[in-house]
Amino acid sequence: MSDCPWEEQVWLFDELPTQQQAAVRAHVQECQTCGMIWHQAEAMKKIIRVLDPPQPEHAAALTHRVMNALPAPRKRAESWRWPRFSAAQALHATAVVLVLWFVLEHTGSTAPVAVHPHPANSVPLNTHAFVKKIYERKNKPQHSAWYARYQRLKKTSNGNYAELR
Amino acid sequence: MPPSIEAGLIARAQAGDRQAFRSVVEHYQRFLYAVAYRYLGRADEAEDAVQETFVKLWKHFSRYRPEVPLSTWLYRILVNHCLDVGKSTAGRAQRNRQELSAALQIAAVDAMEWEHRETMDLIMEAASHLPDKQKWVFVLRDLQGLEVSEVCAILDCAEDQVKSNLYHARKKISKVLQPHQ
Repeated sequence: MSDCPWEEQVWLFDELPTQQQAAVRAHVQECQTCGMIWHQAEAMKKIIRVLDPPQPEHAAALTHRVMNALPAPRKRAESWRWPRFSAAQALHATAVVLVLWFVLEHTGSTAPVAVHPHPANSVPLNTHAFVKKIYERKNKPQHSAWYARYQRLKKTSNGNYAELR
Repeated sequence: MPPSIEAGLIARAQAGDRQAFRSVVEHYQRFLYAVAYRYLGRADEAEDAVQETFVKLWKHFSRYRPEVPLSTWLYRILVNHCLDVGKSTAGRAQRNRQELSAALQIAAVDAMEWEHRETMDLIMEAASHLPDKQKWVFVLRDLQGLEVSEVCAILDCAEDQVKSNLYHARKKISKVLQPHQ
């Protein structure tokens, strides 16, 4: 086992930067152990270099086999599908609908909502009008005008109401 | 590193064009086979590994980004597959070596060819005893000839780690080859 600190660099000679390679070459000339390692590494590289890469025996057949192994493309369904929306898209659509509904409700819509011509004078908002209404209700004649006329005619006729016609 | 192919061809294959994908298979097949054979040691297993690699590429092609070379992507899939296969067939490696040696003795007719095949057999035998990381670094860097940066990308590890594994692998392989040099 070599104790030389340059040993690893000798084995990794090809991975070193150019300057470092020059330093290793110089060291190998001086160090006997590293010199032996250098020769071993070079011999191994030479052996590997002449080896042909393994190749498939029948490349075309392998290609054919690979293509047959691929899953068949999925057919897209002809029928209509519900479109998929993200949560953000659904929230946005809901907000737009709500805003539109609110605007239509409060600006010139045909909904049967009673609109007071003078809201400030309405009974719920105006104490004076509220009190006046109660007074008028109390002093309102008990009977209607038709009833009063009926009572008058009853007194003057003998139950014959032909005159009224 | 295998020569890159036309980017448009990759894009068409990624979009689902089977003809374009066939071209991709034909281009990269031999490089993947060489690596798979050097790691697994058997032709049939190497072919299976290559097939599985391309099938996985087809299924997950949508995840591929052109910033990474397709060869790196393919090697990475192959490495992961071979590691899974290696775990399940660890005991078969020894029998494979013996079968291979016997087959070579019968088939070899040329002395040079025999010497090369014997040497390859020796290298593979030595490599089979290496830990997975060292074996992969040796196969990809020394046997396949990839750059260290690409090996780092394939194995997803730092350059220092790759170099350290390479140092140990070369030392051990050389020890096996020494009597035969």
